[in-house]
Amino acid sequence: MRPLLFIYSLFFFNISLSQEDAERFVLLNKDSSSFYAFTKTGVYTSSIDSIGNTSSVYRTYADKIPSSLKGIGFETLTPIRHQNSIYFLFPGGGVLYQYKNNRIIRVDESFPHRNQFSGFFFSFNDGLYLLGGYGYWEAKNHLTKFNFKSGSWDIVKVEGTAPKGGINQGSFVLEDDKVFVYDFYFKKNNSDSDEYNPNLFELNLSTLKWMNKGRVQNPPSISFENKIQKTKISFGNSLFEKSQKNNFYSLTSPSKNSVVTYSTDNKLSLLTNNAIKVGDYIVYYSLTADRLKNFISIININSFKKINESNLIGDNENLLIKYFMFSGIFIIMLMFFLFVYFNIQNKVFHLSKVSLFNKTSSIALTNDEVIILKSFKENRLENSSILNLFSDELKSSDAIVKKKNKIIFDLNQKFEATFKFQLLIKKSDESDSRQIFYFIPKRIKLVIED
Amino acid sequence: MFFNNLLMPAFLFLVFTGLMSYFLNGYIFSVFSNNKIIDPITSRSSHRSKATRSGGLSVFLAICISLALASSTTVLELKPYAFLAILFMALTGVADDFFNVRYREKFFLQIFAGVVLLQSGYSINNFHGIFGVFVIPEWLSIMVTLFVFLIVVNAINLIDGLDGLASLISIKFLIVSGGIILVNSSELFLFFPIIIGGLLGFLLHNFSSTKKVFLGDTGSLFIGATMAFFVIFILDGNNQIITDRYISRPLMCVLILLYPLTDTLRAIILRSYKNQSPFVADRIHLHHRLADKGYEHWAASSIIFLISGLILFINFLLFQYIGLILCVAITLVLMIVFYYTLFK
Repeated sequence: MRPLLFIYSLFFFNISLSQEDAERFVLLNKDSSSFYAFTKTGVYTSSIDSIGNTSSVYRTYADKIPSSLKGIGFETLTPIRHQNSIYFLFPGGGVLYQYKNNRIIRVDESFPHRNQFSGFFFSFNDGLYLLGGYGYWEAKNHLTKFNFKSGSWDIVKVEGTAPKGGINQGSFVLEDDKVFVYDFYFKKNNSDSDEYNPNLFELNLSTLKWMNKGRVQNPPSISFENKIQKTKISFGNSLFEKSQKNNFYSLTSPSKNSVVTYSTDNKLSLLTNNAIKVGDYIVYYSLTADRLKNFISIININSFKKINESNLIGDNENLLIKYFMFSGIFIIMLMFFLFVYFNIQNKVFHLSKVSLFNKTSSIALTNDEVIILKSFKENRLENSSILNLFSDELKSSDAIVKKKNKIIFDLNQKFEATFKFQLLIKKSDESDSRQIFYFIPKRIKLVIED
Repeated sequence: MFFNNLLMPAFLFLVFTGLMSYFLNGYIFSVFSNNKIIDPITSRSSHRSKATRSGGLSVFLAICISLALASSTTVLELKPYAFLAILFMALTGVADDFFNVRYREKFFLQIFAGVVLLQSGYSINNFHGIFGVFVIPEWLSIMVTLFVFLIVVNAINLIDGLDGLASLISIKFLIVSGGIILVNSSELFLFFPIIIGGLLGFLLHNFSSTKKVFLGDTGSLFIGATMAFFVIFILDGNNQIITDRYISRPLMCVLILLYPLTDTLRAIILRSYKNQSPFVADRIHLHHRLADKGYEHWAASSIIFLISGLILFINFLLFQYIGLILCVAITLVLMIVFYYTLFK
């Protein structure tokens, strides 16, 4: 027996078929209230009325399906509407079929190249395209276009920042002349593991240029294996996405930079990745609990509550501006610190056997000057101590004082000419004004070299 | 994960690495001094007191300790091959500081490090529209990546001639690229406060008159390789960079390395003109001119730091309105003006 169906509830209307006859379906929406369910032997055209009831008409194909389709699971074909026709793409790309005059016929002259599994099959203007995918241990980022004249797939040359390492298990949204790609894996050089690419990319089909749009701020944390099971349905300019394990789904609109999350209340637990959107309904099929029959379920999407709304890519500009303001303050503080450090800190002078120098200049010293400077301890030296340095029984005290004064005067003059301030300053002791001493200003540090 | 917000760990690691670097610089200086491993004073030397070339080693150790801590307590993600290449460059620098590796051998080791870096999966695979070119073939990508790696590493090595210059130029680079990484690859962001902290701790010793420490080849090769990695990361077409909205990536990379690139190019041209080896050590660098004009080292380094920052800032502001060619023209005009007013 062929079809048909029994109704489960107000929201669930199921088309039930015996597994051995009907196998699985390829679902494709026809318009906002009806859809096709293709099988290996024929096609159901189902309509959904205003209260969610369905009615279906089954039509057997005029011819048997091409022999190349018999060996594969029919549901693995990817259907698409293109210029009033329906096409089916072989898994992995290459072989293309057309549904025409109630027949499924093969229209390509290529081979099942199997190079673009999980690639994005889409229609744009007059062309059928396949973007990205995985095959032969490689993820691809190339765009191929079906050539209706030659029946082959040609690689379309694109430029810009294409996703490096390919696009495997990506999420794709086609909006006007732009394809958005995000949430995908790629292969790194010399690596067998699948790496996650957290960026959102845009391929402009008019200019054929890739652009990296930004980093997805909350990339889904599901494993690669679970990702394959993820249900993705095109919702116009958005993409419906639901993981089997989650009780929520998200509608992602890359052009609006928006991700809206809805609770499913466990009503979409059997959702499969062949689901489609028809008007306000999600249509999908799944096996019954005894796994003997397939049934098609229809669920009104408006029944679910919105639980969250966020941006797909973050408010990065604001973060960057804040960062650079902070960095500006940091640089000003650094410069200020350096300025203060080098102007207020002790001026360090190095005393060698023949000269006194700092980082910028030096002055030559006489032996007597070196002797005086070496005698300073903690920047202070008593006048009497200096006189003792030059004591000579053959000279009068007056001569020794004059010699000392001349040495200090000459040293100060040289030093001031080079470094713009006096090195040795004469002062009376506060406790005893008769006691004279010399001191080096506190900000100056004298380092005696070996 | 200890922290969700990056600000606090960034600040903590900046301070921690700074203190660690300051301590290690002082300690290793003492070790070097006690063992008479002192940088000789030659006619080209800018220093007149005792100094060691231990700064790079100290900074490297401080950064390694902080990276180990950060990667085990925060979101910081180390890229193994990149880290290996940088480590290899640092070790090459250690060998050079101790045994004076010949330039040809050092060049070969740099190429090897560049090849290791390529294994990290990052490469300059896209010209981002310069000369109308976007994606480039893989063989060309490898060549360009290696070339840029060599240029950046050697440019940082060559400008390390004044106290604080290489560090300040590196800090400028790290601040700008850190912003980009913060937005687009936050798992790498903590590298930046850690490296900046390491350099700040070193700077205090580098500017010191009594315990003077130089980066040495260890430091310049280590910092140069780190910067080269981030340049390659930014220029990798697969990485999303927020500044694409404001400025061309290649132009930005040139601007954040403006001084090292122009000074190196100028030095090579002048040496070639004099029939000298482009790698010969001399005092024809622009920063030597500032020092010879009487600027203290910190002042000369700060002037170069501020000028290159200013030119980058102007380009950031104008690029959206006037485009690449006019930006390049304005940059050249500014460079000529600054050359004649400050360096001539």
